[in-house]
Amino acid sequence: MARNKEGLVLLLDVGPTMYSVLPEIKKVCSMLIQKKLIYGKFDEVGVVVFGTQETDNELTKEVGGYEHVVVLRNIKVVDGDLVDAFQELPRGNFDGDYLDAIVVGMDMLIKKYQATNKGKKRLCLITNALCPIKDSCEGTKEDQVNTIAAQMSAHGMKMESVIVRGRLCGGGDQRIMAENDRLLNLFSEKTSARAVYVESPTALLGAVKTRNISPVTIFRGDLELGSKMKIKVWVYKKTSEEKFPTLKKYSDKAPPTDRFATHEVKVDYEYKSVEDPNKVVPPEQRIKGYRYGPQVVPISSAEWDAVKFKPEKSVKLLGFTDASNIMRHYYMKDVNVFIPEPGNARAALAVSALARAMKEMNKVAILRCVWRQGQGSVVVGVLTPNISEKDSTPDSFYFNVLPFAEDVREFQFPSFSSFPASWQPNEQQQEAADNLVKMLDLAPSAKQEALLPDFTPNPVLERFYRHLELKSKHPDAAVPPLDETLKTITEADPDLLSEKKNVIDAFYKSFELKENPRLKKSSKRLLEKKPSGSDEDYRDTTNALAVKPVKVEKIGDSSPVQDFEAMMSRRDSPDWVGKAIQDMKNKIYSLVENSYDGDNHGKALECLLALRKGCILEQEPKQFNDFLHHLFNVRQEKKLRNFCESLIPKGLTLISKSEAIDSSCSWRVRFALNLKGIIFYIYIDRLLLIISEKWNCSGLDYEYKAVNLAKGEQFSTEFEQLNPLRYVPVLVDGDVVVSDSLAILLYLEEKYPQRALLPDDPRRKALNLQVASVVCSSIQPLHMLALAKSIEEKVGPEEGLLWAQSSIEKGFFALEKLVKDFATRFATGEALYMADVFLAPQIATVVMRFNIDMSNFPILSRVYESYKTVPEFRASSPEAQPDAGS
Amino acid sequence: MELDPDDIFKDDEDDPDSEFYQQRESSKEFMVYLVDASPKMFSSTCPSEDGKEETHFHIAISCIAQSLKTQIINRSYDEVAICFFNTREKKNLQDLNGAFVFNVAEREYLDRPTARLIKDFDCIEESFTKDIGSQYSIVSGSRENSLYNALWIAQALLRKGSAKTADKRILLFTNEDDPFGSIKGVAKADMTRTTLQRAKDAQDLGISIELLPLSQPDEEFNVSLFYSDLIGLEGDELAQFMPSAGQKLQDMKDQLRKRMFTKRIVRRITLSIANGLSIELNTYALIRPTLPGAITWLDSVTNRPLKTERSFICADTGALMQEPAKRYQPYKNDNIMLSVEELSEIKRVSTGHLHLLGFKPLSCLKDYHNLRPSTFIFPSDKEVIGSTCIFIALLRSMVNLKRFAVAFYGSSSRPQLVALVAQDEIISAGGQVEPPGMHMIYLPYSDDVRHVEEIHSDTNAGAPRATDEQIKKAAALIKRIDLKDFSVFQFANPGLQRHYAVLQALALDEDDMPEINDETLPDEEGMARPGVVKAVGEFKLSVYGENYDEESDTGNGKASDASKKRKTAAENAAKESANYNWPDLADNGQLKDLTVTELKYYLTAHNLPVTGKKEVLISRILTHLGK
Repeated sequence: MARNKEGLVLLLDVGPTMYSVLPEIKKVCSMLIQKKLIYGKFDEVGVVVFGTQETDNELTKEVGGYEHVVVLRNIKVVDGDLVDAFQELPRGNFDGDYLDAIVVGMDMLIKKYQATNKGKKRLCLITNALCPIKDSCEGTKEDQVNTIAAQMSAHGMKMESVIVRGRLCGGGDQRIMAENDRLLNLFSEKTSARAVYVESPTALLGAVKTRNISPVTIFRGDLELGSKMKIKVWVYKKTSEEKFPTLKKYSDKAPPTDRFATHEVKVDYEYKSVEDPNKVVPPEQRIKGYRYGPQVVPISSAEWDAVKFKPEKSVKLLGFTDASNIMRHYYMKDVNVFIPEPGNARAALAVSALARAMKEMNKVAILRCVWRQGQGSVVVGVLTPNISEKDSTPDSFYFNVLPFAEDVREFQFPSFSSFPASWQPNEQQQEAADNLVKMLDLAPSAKQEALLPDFTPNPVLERFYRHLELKSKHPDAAVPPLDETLKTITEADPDLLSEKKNVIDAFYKSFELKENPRLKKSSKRLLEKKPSGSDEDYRDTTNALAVKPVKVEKIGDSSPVQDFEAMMSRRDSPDWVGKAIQDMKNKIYSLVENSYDGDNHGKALECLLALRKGCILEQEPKQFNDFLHHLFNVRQEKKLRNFCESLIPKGLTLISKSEAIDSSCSWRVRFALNLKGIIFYIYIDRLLLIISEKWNCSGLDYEYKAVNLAKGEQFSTEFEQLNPLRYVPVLVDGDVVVSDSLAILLYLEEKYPQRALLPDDPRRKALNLQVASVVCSSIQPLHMLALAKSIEEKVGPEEGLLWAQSSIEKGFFALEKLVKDFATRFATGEALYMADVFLAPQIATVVMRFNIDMSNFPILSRVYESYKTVPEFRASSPEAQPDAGS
Repeated sequence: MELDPDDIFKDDEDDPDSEFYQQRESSKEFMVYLVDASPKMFSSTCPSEDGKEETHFHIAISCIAQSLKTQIINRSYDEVAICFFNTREKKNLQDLNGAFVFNVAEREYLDRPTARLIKDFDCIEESFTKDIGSQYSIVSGSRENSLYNALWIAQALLRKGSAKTADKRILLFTNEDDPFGSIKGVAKADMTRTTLQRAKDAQDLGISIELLPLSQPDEEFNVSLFYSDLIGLEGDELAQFMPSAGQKLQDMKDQLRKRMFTKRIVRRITLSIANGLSIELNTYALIRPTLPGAITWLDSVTNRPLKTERSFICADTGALMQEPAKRYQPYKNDNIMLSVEELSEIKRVSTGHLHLLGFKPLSCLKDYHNLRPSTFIFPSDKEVIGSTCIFIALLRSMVNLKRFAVAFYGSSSRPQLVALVAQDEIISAGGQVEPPGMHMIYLPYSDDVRHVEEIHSDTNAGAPRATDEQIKKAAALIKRIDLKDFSVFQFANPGLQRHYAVLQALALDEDDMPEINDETLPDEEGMARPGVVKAVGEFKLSVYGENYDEESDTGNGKASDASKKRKTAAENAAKESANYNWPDLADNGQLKDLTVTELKYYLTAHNLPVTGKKEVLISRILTHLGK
């Protein structure tokens, strides 16, 4: 590590003309140091400011001169103090001489490293170069620069100058600026120096390289133009995403007293057999498999090695083609650059000739590349010329990877011309758009291009490092807001917007946007901005008008279901319900009676469905059940067979009813079955639930038999065999028998994944299981009748109820806390999940039997109100179950 | 060295968690192949590509076999059934005569193709006469109508699934253009009518029937005799049908193995333009690197799938723990703790939508402004009426003015600047080549761009620049090697095709590995044309001069230190390696007594990888020695 350390001297102009950009300079320098603290802990940094009133540097002591240059910090290893040092950057009141500063910086580097650390010595100058440098007695300014540049090359130093210009530095003497520019460019020509000009604070933040990554070639070798000619090239990455740092996981298990604790977390992977979760398969016994249709084909690494595609390392030209043939959006990955082999003048000539010819002819080259031996895949890509503007830099190529046939998805999209006329912009709209595109210009000719990728810093990383710094001082610091300067990256520049306000307004007025009124209110909205309040109000009143109840007095022919529902919901007299049910029965009967060849059956089914629902809601199951029996009885004589057979798949079964003793267990199972839409049947006191697909197809006969069987003794014994405990529900699904409600629910969840009762998010899933478990193990057992009875016997007659109440209340407090952050409509969010399946019957039972004051549990009361509106829940209540005794 | 085939194809920058790369299959295709197995199919032949005569039956069978092999990779969720008609034996759920549904164990009649099905189907010709038998059963006197039966069976099989979610097709292979030719009078009319009615019923149920007719060399299949009515051809379609059918047959055989994806919106976003004006857009992934399917780890003893379990262990105490909610970053001799919520808060610099920042001329979009595959955006009026209109207006302006839009895309994984490049629709004879819309190109930040060109700047002399003469020669060369009809995605990925081929060979126990044609290799023949050779020669002479040896001239050696070092190491290793009698050591099992350094001499000397544990090194040496 240490031998790669970089020695850097920052040369900062703090003269009066620089005041406006000093905040940005502070930011960018802090960022640079912060990154070094993480990625280059051994790098050494010195800071020199110039344009100060004071003078403090070694050269002035040794040889005199070099005034107004202060060494703020000598070259030493980066540390936290340095970050702070930038916060108190002095403000100078003299015109700084950047050349003096450069010499001071060089002197520091030379004294510190002498001849060592070659190529890792760097000067970074930030100035506006508005002030002239002093004349010297030793020749012209050019000569001075030449001498200094020669020294720089001799010591293997690099220099980076960031020159602040444009609106950032105000006006300046054009002549001096031109001279300084010439001098600074002379550095670029004579030594490894780079000068960049920035005109906005954002660009200043982006212009300084805050992280040094030593480039590594991905290929060195021949670019083959056929078999006859080769050009030696080196290939580097030109762009590569600087990732958000991967943070380590923190373990808090070590005792706080352990000062040597690493707090690291090791992540271990174990491979286990799917059938036997206790069996761990050792790594050498694993083999990779790939899917081939429904099967998985195992392929060992050795086998794979023997047969896989093994292209030879090479970079071959396939040919040239028109640049317009390669659309920009086909570039697949980050970009590589092909540079001629360093020092090989002929290779540089060959690349230069090709690149310039391609540029002139507007052609690009297609290459096939295998970067290294044993790579296993080839890359086809496009080579585009990169003509160098700097004399010392050779011409090169950019290389972009292109997709293969397999990588392109040929989705079809409608032509714009096929859209309706209202979607097509008219002439006036087109003009407004033209103006907007023209005027909202980020690259006006007079100014520097805004948001040039090369000068745009990553706002997220900036924020991360700033937050890190804040946290290092105050561990509880909140995440800071995005830096103001960087907001011009994430949002449109307000200056530009206000400057072009009339164009934007014209555009705004030319087009009309409105929300689609046909969308349901509940659907997730994309628009952050809601339309103005008046629109909202208007819609509400129209809706209200639409649903304004018309008093329905009889069931008509056109919309019997709606009529029935309207009648059922009339609350002005209790008689309406009875009348509605009776009318509906007559309607259904007449529909079925007068049906010719089943043409009315559909309508009749709809009515029957509505009737069943209504009867459940109004707790009139007998009305419906009797009617259904009646229908079946008459079906033999009246050719209604077809009709009756179509009832079962529609869920038109008898409404069941039963009294419950301690029913929340089986209640919750019924609730879950209803939610999942599984047709099931109940034998014996709602305790034995049977799922059968057979009933879906074989009609009612089977079911009737089942009901009859349920009355018989043989089923009771069978039930006892299945379920020795007797007080838990038992689910029979084919030949699978599961008892205990939690086990049943988990089984259902696995077997019938439709309408999942456990959310995917592990957090919510765990929460659901917790609620279930609390209900199952910490509440319900404590108020079991048997337990209460035994307490009453042993302690006292009142104690049973008290005991139950206290244990329930304790449990409910816990539940209330548990769901507090999640409960909205239901206990864990907007949808019904397992927690609700457990909670709903539990609350219902408890409210009925134990006289619990639910006002202590606002959340539970609220969700309970929601449960009452859920039809599946009501249908699963004990009251709605078939009367096993009758 | 353990090679992970997934790694080989993996893009370094791929983030497997990013929803970008997730794919999902949804809508399915159900297909029933109906193959005429009448004696005529066996007696008629066509010359094949390599000049041999092939029976029509063979053509149909090999076509289906090819198609199945492609399908199992491309769309393995689709379901197929294969039914022969005009057979001696019968096998079908309806117990109809003259039709035989081919199937293998562990599979329903209409089901996803399995390796077993493909394998057994590959050798069906050998057992056909014995097990199924060919017999033309539509003859006068019998009331049998095997074509009718076949359609009935196919329709019954396709009853599965709803027509909304599945595409249902019947593909009929026959060379009999007049199936009821041998029958006369009322019987013929009756059979024709019922068969056509059966076909119509199927079509009414949303099943499409396609015909793949096989013509005799001397007599073309006459569609108009019967089948034009069955598949519902009229007018111009009739004339077009035969040529297109031939093409279809060819296409079925030559399909590229390519995983198919259904069109799916990656995300619905808004583009906010200014003043709160936001339009609605859908994004699509049109170009994404296709990787070989996911790896399933298997137990090599039982070949049963394994499941991976992850556990977190505290490095200090060794305690098993839950996934920790805190992360830390060492900074200034301290560990700075950050919660997961904090981290996502840091990344949330903008809403998850697009914010328009302005426009720039297309010339500002440099070739190196790229990081990832682009994303396609298309407008939608689903929620915000008027979005499409604004989008089209902007798109046209951008195309006309040759400008692109710069926007900030605040995605949660990596918020960044994007270029929106407008693309007009391009339609060719074959259909839409480029859909109309904008392509979102992900732009790098300053820290993502590297100034590598300048590393090797020669400050003393200035870089060599080509003279006009040299550029002219280069231009002549470029003109010579011009790929006129180059299309971006004309090449299949040879690595991926090889992977699929190997998978197929292993799954079907094929003996030899099929060779994959690497289309990406340069056209050696074209390159050797005298014109090209001459142009290359002239260019070479002009830039390299005479007597230039490319191999020996390796730059000024400044940067080849590393390679020199490597070279010396290799030479040294070769020297050291010569001191051992490797075959002897191997035979006597003494390799394990050597040190790893010693073992590496051999490996380096023979240019073998030197990674891995000692046992791995030894086994590699043994393999290389051929033991």
